[in-house]
Amino acid sequence: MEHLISGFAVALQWDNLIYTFIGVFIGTIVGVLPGIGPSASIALLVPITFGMNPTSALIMMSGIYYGAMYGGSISSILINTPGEASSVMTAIDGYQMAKKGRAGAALAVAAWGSFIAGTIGIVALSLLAVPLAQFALEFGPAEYFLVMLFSMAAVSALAGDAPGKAVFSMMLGLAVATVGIDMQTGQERFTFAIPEFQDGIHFVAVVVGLFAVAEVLRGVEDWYMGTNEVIRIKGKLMLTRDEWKRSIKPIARGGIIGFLLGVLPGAGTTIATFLSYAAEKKSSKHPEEFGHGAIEGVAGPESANNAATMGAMVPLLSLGLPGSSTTAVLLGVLIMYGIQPGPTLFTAKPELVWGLINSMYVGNIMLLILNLPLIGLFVRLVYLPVGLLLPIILALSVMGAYGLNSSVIDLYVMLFFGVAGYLLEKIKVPLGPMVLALVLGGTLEQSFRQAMTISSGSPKIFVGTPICVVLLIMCIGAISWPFISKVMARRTAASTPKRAIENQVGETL
Amino acid sequence: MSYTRLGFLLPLVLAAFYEFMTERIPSLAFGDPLGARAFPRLIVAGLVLSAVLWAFEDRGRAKTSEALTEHPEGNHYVAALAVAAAVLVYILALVPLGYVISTLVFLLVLTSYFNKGKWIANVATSVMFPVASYLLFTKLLGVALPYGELLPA
Repeated sequence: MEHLISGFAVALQWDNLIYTFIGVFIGTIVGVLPGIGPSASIALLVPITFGMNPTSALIMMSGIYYGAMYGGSISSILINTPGEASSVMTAIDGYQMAKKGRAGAALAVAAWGSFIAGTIGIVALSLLAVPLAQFALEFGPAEYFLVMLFSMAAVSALAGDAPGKAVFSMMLGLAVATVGIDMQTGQERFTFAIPEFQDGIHFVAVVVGLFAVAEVLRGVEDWYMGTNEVIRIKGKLMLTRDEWKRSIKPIARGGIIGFLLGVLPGAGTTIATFLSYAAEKKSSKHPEEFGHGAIEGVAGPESANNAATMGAMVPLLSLGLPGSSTTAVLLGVLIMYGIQPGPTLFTAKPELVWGLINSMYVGNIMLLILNLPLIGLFVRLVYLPVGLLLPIILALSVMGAYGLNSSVIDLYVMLFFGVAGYLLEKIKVPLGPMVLALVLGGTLEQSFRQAMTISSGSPKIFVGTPICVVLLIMCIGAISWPFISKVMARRTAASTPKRAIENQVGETL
Repeated sequence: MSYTRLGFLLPLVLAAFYEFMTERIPSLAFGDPLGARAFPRLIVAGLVLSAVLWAFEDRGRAKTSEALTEHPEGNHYVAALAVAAAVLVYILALVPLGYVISTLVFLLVLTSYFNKGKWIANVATSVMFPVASYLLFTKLLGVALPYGELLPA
């Protein structure tokens, strides 16, 4: 309780209020704009935040993360083009509502839903993070190795229907993480005689390449295909009594689904929105309205994606475990500041943890203001010509990647990963596992080698305690899940052809 | 046979290259008992495993032919890679010409193509963005950006 109150004292300092505002403001902008997401934006801000108080920097960067969830709804509703993957489900009914002249109501329910569910998420984060951190204090190197392995396995398993490609992406990330001087023996590894690589390949350059440059290259393709018509906001940004009545339960359900999915590594914001949409459609008395402008189809997913960002902060802060590419970037930033998130963080730096958590309450209030009375400001961004926007994002990427170390090598790394990311996505290789593995790679290797040193080279240490056994079973379960689910789906389809058709419809949602 | 079905060879090629590089790390007789090669060898094993899984996935998918059909309108590789080439030229010019001039030229070239006919907006963006961002970053935020080796001091 004492820490909770002191956290508010940190969050309400005038400079932290400004950084919260800057974070949520930038977050809303990147949520609206195609071609740049929260991962790349946070990475691009790293050079600017050098020298800043780590708490303020983290408050600002987290603001970008959850702010992007608010902003994503604007482009989904008005141009049927989600700025983020987590807003894809919002576009289905949000755009239909806008076409029927109810864009104002769709934007209002998105803003209110995000605010209510986001607040539910922060309360749950405050309650859950400490017990989890206390439990994790018992972890040794073997447990840490397995918990990180589980996180990466879960992200790979849920990255799509191609676990082989996800594992490949993860291995690429780990391989990149091994570049540089080995901290335990002092030997150079995979540096190709490039002196700048002795300190390793910088994750900021990789993230900017994968999530900004590659995204712009994909944007160039979309530019050739043309864009959707932009719908002007009609109607007041208010909900009627009936719309409130229809939305409040989806908002509450979305908040709970989103938070729980956010806590699980790999599931993240996008899957939370899919599940929330499916739950609303299933529980609705009028499922036929879904896809044609049902307000529940906007309220549920928009609430879920915001609560999921809060849920994702639980494993990040209490275990030092990111469950998505954006939280992986946040972890990388923390490590750059010399802060190791994990169970000891709550006792070593309580002002940072509680200052950050409590800044989210403030940030959510700011986002509600930005997304209701001031929404006209962000709507203008939707009208920005893509032909101007894409080159500017590339120039920003070059500026951000160079600004970190004043190194041209970082720019070549950025371009290499930009082109590689673009080509890998063409062959359906997900990029999230790569970033996660890149950030966790160093710690993963260190834990593995420490565990093996403790056990004098015996792998039995990885089944030496009950926690290890449970974690190992979870790892095996996560790795085999895509295959088990496929077999289960095939058996169900073979036994009930009708359900198979329903599954097909569900998949194409 | 579609080239996409040969995708599983990619992790195998990378595994072979990575293993070759791993063997070039000198082994030390002291210090860490596992040595600097142990973890990279696990990565090699992981790459081989991913190739096997990938091959099985593609085999399963080949049975449903629609999974391999691609959207014909979505293949603008050349344009995207041309933009990547423009970024390479931009990077090469950054230090000799400086951030402001190289960014101005880069933006002018790309906006002229992607935002055709809107000369005023294109020129205004191409001039204002590099000048404003240079002043903001170097003077206000203390982030170093190249001034230009070829420019007078």
